[in-house]
Amino acid sequence: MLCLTFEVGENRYAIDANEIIEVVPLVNFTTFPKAPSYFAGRFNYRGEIVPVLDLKDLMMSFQTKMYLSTRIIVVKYETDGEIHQLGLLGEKVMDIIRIRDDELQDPGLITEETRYLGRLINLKSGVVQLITVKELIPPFVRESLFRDVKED
Amino acid sequence: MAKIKNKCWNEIGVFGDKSCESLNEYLHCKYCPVYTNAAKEFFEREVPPEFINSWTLDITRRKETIEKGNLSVTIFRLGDELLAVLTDAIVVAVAVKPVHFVPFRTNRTFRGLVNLDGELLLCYSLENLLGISRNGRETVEENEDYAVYKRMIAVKGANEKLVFEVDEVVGVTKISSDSMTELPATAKKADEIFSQGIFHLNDKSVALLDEHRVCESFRSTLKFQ
Repeated sequence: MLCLTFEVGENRYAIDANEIIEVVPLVNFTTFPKAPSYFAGRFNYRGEIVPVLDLKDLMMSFQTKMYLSTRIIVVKYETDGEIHQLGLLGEKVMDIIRIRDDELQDPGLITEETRYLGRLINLKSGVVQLITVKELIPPFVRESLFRDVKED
Repeated sequence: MAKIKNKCWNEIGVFGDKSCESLNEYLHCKYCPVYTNAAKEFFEREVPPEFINSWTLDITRRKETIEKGNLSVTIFRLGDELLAVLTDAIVVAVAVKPVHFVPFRTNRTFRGLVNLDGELLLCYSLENLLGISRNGRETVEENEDYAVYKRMIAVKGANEKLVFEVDEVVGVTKISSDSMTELPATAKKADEIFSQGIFHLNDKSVALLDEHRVCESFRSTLKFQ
């Protein structure tokens, strides 16, 4: 499995490359008023409005640093059988790694709030944890987020 | 941005006195993780706002996808005709070399021998095989925009390599096998037996030659009568 790695805080995470549409540089966002703070905003991605999640805010309640290595990972987000586009703001989006399925280990502690955290892999450079894109947005937010998009 | 303190590659690495022990393992600093990580440090700094503005604009544009095929073909011109062969079948395209006459063998289609990098190859006339007249655009002066050079193309068929001369090598392009059209059944031109199909390039139709059939017919012109 080919995975894109990035960092949130000090930890490294990975997303299956199959779920990724494109990695794009930072852009200006239009913010969602009164939305949970982990919504960085939305942006015009090649003609379509795509919401962006700030992964650092979602996981550790800090805003992502707007560095050159911070990039938007545009992923396919499937809900109700429809595929939407979702941007994920990650730090140090730099590397692609290849993971064998038998190298993956069970994550241990996963709370109801962190259901998006997947299995772990032990690399020389440290532990990398897989992220399940579908679980990143809580179900009740998911519904309202993409319902608006559909009504357009 | 954290300033890079340890620029070891300039001191003990390949840009310095090469005394670093890691060089035994990595051969060059560019394969060493220290160097790679230092390069990544470069990205650990604030983005200038004008960068973000220009990126925002870039990302709004739709991606232009170009339909590219999987067949690489080399296109060349003979007289007024555009022809192509699979790039895989081409050994080399070179400037025109002298053709050595072979007594009792040289004829209209077989021109003689050509020395190609020390290898003697049989040289044929493709225009004669296909019945193409090269009288049309032979002069270089006609094209003022760019220079046109005659070339010799060495092609490998099933068993042998051979050479023929063309008026111009137009270039290499990729086509998809779907974009090729079959030859019209009514067309009974001489070159149709040598073509695999026709494709379009900038509104001009190009015939893709079957190098095996071309080589075969070239050979058959050399048989003892």
